[in-house]
Amino acid sequence: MEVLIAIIKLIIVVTVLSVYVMYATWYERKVIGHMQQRIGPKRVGWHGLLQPIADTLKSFWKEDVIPEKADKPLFWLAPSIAATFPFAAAIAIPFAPPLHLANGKVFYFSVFHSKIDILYILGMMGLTSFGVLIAGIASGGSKYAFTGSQREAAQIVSYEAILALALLNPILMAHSLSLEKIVEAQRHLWFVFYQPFAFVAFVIAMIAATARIPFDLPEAEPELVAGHMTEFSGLKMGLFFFGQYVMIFVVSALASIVFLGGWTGPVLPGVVWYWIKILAFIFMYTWFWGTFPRYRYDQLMDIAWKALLPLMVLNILWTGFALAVGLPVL
Amino acid sequence: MNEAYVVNNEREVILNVGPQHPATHGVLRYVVKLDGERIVDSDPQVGFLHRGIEKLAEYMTYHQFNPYTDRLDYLASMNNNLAYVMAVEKLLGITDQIPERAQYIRVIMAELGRIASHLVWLATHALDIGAMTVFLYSFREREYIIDMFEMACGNRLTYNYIRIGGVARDLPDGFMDRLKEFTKLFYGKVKEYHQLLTKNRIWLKRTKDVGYISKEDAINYGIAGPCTRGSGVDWDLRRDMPYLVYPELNFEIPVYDEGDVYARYLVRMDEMVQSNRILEQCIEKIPDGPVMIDEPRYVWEPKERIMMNNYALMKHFVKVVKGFKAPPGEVYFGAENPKGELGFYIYSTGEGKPYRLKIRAPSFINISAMPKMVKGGLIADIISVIGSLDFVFGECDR
Amino acid sequence: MADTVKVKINGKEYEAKKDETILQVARRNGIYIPAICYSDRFGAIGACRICAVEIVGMKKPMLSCAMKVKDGMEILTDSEKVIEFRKNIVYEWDKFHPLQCGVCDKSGECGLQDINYELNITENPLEKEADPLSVPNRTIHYEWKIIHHDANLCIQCRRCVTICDRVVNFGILALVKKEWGGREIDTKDGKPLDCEFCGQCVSICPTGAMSSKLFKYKARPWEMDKVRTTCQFCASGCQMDLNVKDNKVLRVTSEDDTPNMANLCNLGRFNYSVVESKNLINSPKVNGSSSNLDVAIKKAADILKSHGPDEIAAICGARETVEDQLALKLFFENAIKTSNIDSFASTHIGKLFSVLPKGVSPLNNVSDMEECDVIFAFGGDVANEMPRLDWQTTRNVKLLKKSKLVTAYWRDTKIDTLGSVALRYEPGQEVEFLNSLFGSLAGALNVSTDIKGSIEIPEDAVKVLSEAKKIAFLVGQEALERPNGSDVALALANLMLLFGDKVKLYASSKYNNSYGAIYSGVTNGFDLYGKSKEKVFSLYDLPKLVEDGKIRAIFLLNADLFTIFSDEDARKIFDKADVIYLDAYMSDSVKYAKVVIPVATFASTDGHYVNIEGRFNRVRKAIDRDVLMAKDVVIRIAGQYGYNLPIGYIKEALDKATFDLDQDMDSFRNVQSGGFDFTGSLKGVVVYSKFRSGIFSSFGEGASIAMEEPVLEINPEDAQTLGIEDGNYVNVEGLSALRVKAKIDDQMPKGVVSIPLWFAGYNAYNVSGSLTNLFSAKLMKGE
Repeated sequence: MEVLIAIIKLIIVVTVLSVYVMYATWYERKVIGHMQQRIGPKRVGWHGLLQPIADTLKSFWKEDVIPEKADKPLFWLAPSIAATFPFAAAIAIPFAPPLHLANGKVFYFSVFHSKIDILYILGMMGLTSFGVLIAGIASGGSKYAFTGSQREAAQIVSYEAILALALLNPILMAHSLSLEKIVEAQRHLWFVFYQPFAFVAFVIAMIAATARIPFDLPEAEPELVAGHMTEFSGLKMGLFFFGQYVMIFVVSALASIVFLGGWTGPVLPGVVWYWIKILAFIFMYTWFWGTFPRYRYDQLMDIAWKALLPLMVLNILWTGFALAVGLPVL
Repeated sequence: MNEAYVVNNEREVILNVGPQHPATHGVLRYVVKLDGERIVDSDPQVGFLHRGIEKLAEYMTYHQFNPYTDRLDYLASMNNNLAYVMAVEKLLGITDQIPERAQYIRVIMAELGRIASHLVWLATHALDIGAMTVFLYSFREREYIIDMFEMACGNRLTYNYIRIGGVARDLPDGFMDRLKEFTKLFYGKVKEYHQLLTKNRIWLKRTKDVGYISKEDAINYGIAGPCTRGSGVDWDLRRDMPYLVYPELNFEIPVYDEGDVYARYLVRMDEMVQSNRILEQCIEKIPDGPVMIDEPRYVWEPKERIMMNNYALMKHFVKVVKGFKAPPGEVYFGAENPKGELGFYIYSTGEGKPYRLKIRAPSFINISAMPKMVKGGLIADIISVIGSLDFVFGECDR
Repeated sequence: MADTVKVKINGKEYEAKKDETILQVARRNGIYIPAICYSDRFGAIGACRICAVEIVGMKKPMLSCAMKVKDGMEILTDSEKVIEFRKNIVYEWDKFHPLQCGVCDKSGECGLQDINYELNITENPLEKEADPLSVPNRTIHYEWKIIHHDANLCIQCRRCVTICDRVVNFGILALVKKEWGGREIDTKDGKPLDCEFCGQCVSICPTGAMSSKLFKYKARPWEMDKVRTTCQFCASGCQMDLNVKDNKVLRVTSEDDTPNMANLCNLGRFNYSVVESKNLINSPKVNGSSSNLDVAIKKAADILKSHGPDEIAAICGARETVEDQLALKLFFENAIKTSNIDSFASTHIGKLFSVLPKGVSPLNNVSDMEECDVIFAFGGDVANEMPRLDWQTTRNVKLLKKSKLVTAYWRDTKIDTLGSVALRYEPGQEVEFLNSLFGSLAGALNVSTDIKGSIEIPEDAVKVLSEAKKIAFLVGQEALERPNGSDVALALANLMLLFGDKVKLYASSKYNNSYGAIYSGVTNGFDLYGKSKEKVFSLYDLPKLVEDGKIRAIFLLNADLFTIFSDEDARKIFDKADVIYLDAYMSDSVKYAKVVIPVATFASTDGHYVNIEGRFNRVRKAIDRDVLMAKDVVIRIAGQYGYNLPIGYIKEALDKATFDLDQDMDSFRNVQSGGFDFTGSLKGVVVYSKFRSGIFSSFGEGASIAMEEPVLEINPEDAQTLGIEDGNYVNVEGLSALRVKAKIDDQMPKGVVSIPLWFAGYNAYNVSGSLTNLFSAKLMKGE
């Protein structure tokens, strides 16, 4: 029974996420369009609502060019990994607050539920970078792809560390790795008010981890053409984007759960609050895209190792100290 | 052999940026030797858009060549027309006879062209560095200018509006109103761009102290236009070798001493404002009158005369088929174009076609300083520098 | 230094020769003086007055084209006075000139347009005098053939009148008074134009008044690309520009800087339509049916392979490029291993060049004829055979007045109107005549010899010839093609040897590359570079050799056998031997040859022709056609032999571009030749027509309009006796019968009739027999 439910959940999650990814692109395009005084997709369907479907279909029919020098198995593997592991991370993310059933059981709106949700999610996110790394290696000596994947690997390694350190503060405060518990702990006041530095560091790190403006260096178009995706086309390239959008969802959900109290909030039902927060983060992504230029690669690493890391270490020390002596954190 | 093509140790990698590349503004093949992401050496290769325009000029009459100048710096066709036409007029010795109204129209067109070209520069420069919105904002204003050009001459890219002896036709009704509207509105728009970029930390990080070139080097390389003015060279042909009615107009030449990408950025931003000032003054001062000289030896005569008088008809045929006979001699005229000094050198043997026509293309000369600017920087700096040099390959490769 | 003077032009001093005109001095020094009527082709007329200059000290502007320079003269070419004077002239021209530039063929290259532009005419005070409604009231000559004259467009510069008179020496045009009160260009007699139709007047007309009907409304001058090439109608090597648009030749022009000074004859100027595809062989043929190139080439190689080397012969038509000839020579000598090659050049200049006397200069620039004080034209009607020699003679005698002219022919011709010492002989008596002349001259020059003839030579001719310092020998092709042509050549060689290095030889040829055929060694008796070699195979023997079965396969390169053999002989050859025929134009040979492979016409070929001057003239490709050049066909056939034709060798052989002629005749040889036995009272001569050069020239529009059908020329007395009137058709009987139109010509000597060569559907050799041009004529009045 458990397994059956899990499988059904899995199918639903994959379906929902796929649709979500499609419409996330539409949402993004609409938002940035209006920011730039345009209107975004408008022609396909009502307000361009069918545009994502058209785009998806197009990516299916696109010619799949495989470079002659490419390592064929790896060339297949790379996009698969890049798309799979974000999904793996996403199955631990709840889509709604857990439902306390009448029989005393709790129904979780996530496929996978454990006490170490965060650890699991961070682990899966870390694995995602393998897809990018393999893409660079599989591209058969393409210098752009190789440089792009090198950048991505270094960037993800750096920012996963920041991400983890930033998460450590709420974890310390909630005494748990379970997402549900962390939400519980914010019932009265969201952690963002206790841990503003950690929140800022997390937001920076999550943008970097998903390689979006101003940290989209692995695929910085003017420099590296399309970074690790340079040699990929059609559906394979679509899979990389797919993975990226799922990642954006994962980190947005994580941020709203860990720092913004997840589904807690006044008046409106929990699920609404929860999604408002996620969409706000996605909006933030788009907003940044529309506003910021791009950092240079060395500057990005400087931010991680010279600014954020010491800051976070200090922050953890302070949090630990404050918790130990019973001071209100901050 | 150029050092850029020799790999000395296994750390060094040669990367071909272009000729098909999103950031090379056309078809530049930029060969960089990298140590990691650091640039050890580099070499720009040009000529992928070579159409032999200079050679073509030797086979066509002076009038026929005018549209070809549109295809040089296609972002500032009006300015190219102007430089070429002024060179021919200098050769013909009719520079002083150009009607004043035509001169003002030419200044208006040239300054609008400068703003339009700088807007495209700003758009692509910012887009290259990742700021996408600026791109769309500046294209919004450029559209305004292009619409005005369309009103005046019917075209949106290749105008061929400024002609030997004046301009093709008088400004249409309503043009001045739109121009007034634009000049009023444009200050605010420039402010908007400043808001998005000038104080932006990331922008500063990406442009400050990047692509440095000293004042001496800038002069030695022969870089012209905003690029030199970003290195502290106070030189602008509009003021220092004046032509048209520029001496009667009040404007400043922005000069910054830093010599980096940011300084060049500021120069162009300020130049747009100054151009707008010039436009405002032109609106005030523009007189009424003819827009084309009445010199039937060189310019087309009105159709009424051609249809009524056999001598006018006969002369028209000669001008069309063989071209007008320019006096023998050689002449050089350089105009301050958005990209720098665009110069036309014409050698005439007295025939209807130039014996030799040489184009001093600012883009070509500016590119030559690139290896100097990017040496020791990172790959990403190439992109900043390309953006700040603002070259167009139609002009560079000719 | 006595004959140099110093003049000041526009304040600058220049040196000039004494007899130069102001215009010449100015032009030489790059000072521009406009001139409408003046042309280097014929000198000053003084009609347009536009070249007027101011001479300091003189009140009125003077005409620079006519005024000779004087020491210390001060000339102003563009003072205000002069400009005003010139403008007033142009006002006069503009006054009546219709507004027709838009539809006028000339506009774009019009002298009147240019002068209007140069003087920058912006008003015309005389405009009001002219009533616009009554302006185009002058004659338009619609009735003229080929040439269209619209007097409304005429500015009366008299260029056409002058060129017709002083260059062409025809003089049919004049300014004639008309009933409307003024004068117009028209024929002198007022009848429709009937002339050589050379179109020189069209080429010289500064406005659109004289224009070509063949070109009318076809294209505008600036639309066409001009391709400089060499004329294919005779060995003059006139340089001309094919005006090409849309892969079609629309007209032919020539520029003043060419060696022929822009002069072209009817054939060159108006016969470009021969290269239209309707006149050409368009696909290869094997055994009479259409085939493709690969099959035809295979078949050709098979035919050649199936015969022994000695059974194969090649004949060049002397119309192909030197490259083609060299390729053929290489192929035959190295792959087939036979030297059985001959060309049509051996029918005339081959004979003369194999007996070249020492000291004589055999190849001379035509313009160098100006150095000769005597011109001796022998054996042919130069105007018909090679107009360029005619023009140069006219220039020497009429324009420059440098030379005296002695003509030796059996009838009066056009050049005699220049004022010549006319020597006459009867057709067939050439050797006898030359011997007589030799005898008389030897006496005058104190050379002892036993050669003498029975014809009496007038004193004045002997005097003129013997006193000559430099003498130009114009040798007609006709005399060399007599049945005893070789003897004529020898007799002529004797005569030339008498003068030694005083002689400049000009031997005319209707075949454009006959000199090339000598250079490349495809002519019997000649090796590469024109060196002499043993005679192996002669064209003259061909019918017999084929009949005897000694030659079984023949390779014809541009050699239409029907142009030199009678129909009977030619057909026999085609019957008995396997013939491979390479040519561009349709001809009877196409019907009979086993394998026909089309090759490119001169307009689609790149290569060289060698002209009478020994100059290697470029032929350039002007129009694209999906046909190989002859040399490429030869290369491909050679490929079937496994022989890789060395192209580098051809290039090398061509690069030398100078002849190595053997001039080893150093003593007089006594030639006795009985001449031709005429039976009956009428002597028939086959002559060259001005309007034909090869049967294919009948395809040309200009030539066929100018002369639609062959005419038999006959003396009025003979005509009266036979009851023939002008325009009657007569049956000529020689070997077989031909039907031609008769033309009564009082320049014809009594007892002689002539019929022309090379008209479509008519073969003069049927009457005279192959390779001969004399016959005993019998005329019957036709219906």
